[in-house]
Amino acid sequence: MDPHIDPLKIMVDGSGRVFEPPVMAPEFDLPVDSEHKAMICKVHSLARPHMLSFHLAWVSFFTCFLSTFAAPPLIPIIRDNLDLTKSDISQASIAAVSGSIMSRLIMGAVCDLIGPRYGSAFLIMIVAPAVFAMAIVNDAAGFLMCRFFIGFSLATFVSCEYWVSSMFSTRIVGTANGIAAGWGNLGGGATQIIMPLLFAFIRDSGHHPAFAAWRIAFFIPGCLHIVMGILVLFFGQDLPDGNYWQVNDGNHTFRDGFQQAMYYAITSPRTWVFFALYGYCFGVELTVDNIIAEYFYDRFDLNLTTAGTVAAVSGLMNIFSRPIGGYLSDKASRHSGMRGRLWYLWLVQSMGGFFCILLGKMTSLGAAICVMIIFSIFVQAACGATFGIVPFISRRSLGGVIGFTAAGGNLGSVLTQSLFFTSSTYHTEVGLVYMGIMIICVTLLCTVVYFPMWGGMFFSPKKNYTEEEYYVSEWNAQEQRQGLHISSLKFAINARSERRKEPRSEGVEPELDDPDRSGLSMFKSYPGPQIGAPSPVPPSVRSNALE
Amino acid sequence: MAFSRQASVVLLAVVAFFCAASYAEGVLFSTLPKQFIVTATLPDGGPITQVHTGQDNILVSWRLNTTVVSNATIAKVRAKLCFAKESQVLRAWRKTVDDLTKDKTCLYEISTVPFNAAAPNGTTNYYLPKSIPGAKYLVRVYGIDAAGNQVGFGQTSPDRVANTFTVIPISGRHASIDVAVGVFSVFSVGSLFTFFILENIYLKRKKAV
Repeated sequence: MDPHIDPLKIMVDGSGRVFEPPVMAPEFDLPVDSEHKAMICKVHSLARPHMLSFHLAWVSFFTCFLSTFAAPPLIPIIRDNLDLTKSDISQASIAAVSGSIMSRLIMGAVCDLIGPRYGSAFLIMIVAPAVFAMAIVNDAAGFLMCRFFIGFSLATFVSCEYWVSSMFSTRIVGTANGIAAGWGNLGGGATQIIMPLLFAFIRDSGHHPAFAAWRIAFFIPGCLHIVMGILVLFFGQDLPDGNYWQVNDGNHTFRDGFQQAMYYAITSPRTWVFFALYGYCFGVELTVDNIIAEYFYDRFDLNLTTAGTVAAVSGLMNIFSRPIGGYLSDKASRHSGMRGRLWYLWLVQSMGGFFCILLGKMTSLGAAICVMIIFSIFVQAACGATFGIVPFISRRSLGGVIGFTAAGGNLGSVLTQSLFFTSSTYHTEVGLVYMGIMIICVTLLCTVVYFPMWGGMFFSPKKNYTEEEYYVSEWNAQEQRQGLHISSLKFAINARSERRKEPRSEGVEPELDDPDRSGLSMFKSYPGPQIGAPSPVPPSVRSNALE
Repeated sequence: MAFSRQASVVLLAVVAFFCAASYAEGVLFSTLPKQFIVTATLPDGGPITQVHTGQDNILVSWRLNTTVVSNATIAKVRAKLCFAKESQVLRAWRKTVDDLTKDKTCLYEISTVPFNAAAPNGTTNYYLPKSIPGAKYLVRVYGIDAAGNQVGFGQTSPDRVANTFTVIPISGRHASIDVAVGVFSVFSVGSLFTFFILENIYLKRKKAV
């Protein structure tokens, strides 16, 4: 039984959402809930532990994005130095995003075992030698190996999301995750400006030949890796109450083993739909990060720094477009529940595909830049909208679902790059048109997403099927007897906000009309995968209610 | 309503302007007469097989081809280093396009000298800069008129396959870069494991207390 839950302290507000009030915890600078997770996200503050950990999490993710996409803006120089062909370049770009397919899946389990602080610091500092090794590659094979190993560091997305989810309470976690992920993704845009500027500075002020200057430029991302790793180790904290080794002495909440946690992610068909869908918003964003600077350099004859700046604009949209994508998904949900979220996601991602087609058709620089900006905004908003839905797919295997979705994003990038930007038979602009068509087709998968308690884009929900049944059914009868399902139950009650808003009539939701009775739903036992007689109410829980 | 209509008309005009601006055409290479005979040799006069950037020179000489008659007046002569066909394979950024404003065959300029009809022959000594990539090359010379358009050409290789020479580039690596890579990598991994070990020792000591 989770000792932090006090049934009588559960409150119901007018919208039917159940939440806990802030607790008295003067040792924290921010208002916190009963798990000591922050209830507001003060972006301008460095308050320990919540805001400091928030900033460490997104900046370390930013650094990894920066180093993974440090090569693309310098490709025009690197391809001359290493005598690369188009297929060498695209194979290396594919390798950069394919390594993290596996590493993102594993990172979820690693965070569970040793905490996000050790997880992200370990990954950042182990990948740093690969960043430095870029400075000494001689041929296409070395270039590919380096990009492959540097790409592993994109798994910091999972540790960043995990860390932010541990620090912020459920009401704010969506926004906090959206800001952290969006600002982390900025690294892919910022690197397109930073690396050419560094290269130009080293070549001109340092009087090095171009073929040496790009190598020296790679020391900067490498040193950033070391600096961030050290900062995370010294100043990071896994949980509001301390690090894993401080808190984990038996008193911590129940933790699933790796296989158990993955099971509920793998067996939900919705996970696989989002595995595919995320590949065509985030995957497309990664692909564009890889190819767009070279595209502007070659097609519009810009110099390296200018091409990098133009390409960076695409990534820089992340400052606001991903958080707004998540925020508007929340607004759509307030209007029409989960159906609203699904329609919004379909619309935004399809618009991204449409503008991708348009981008390939633009023949002049000004028009191409305008269309690229609009395309980036829609694609990144679709990423934010996806993670407005993903937390609802499974509660028990949230880490697994995030890991699968994130891995699917990378797989989408591998697919789009292999299909459209590897072969020499057609130009990059034609590849962009085909990619846009594929985005629109794959996004039609949104119509297939169906939540039994909320319905789908076209289908109504099952009658009398509640959120509690969906989330608590992930725990079997024995686990429910031990009370391990309580946090899922709390989440289920909060998740009622995803219902379509129908006019309230008498007796539609009698529990919400009667605040005293709403607490009682906590103590019902729901049949899990092992269908049997509902287990009796645990005596410890019953006695708690009477106090 | 009327304002939004005006705004959309203006927006369309801007987009149309940008689209139209891209359709200017340049001189077509296939129309140029072969007015020059060009040779490229080592400074001592011997044939080039391979040269190193950053150390070697090549000597480029050209003279007018008297059998080709052209009306255009040449104001300048521009010599450029161009890729041989085999160095363009699978590399679309070096593609040959007939429209010379879009052509990427000749990316490196050797020199531009004024042309004097009385003394039409010329030579130039070219020191290969370190930024030239490794590939097979030939030398092409353009005759440029007063308006800046190409009016004639000549090249060392008849078809960009025969009579090309290899340029060997620098690697860009120095010993200092290699050493720095080793030092930084060891520092990164070493400090990570040192921190783990020290924190574990600290934790064990704390538990023992």
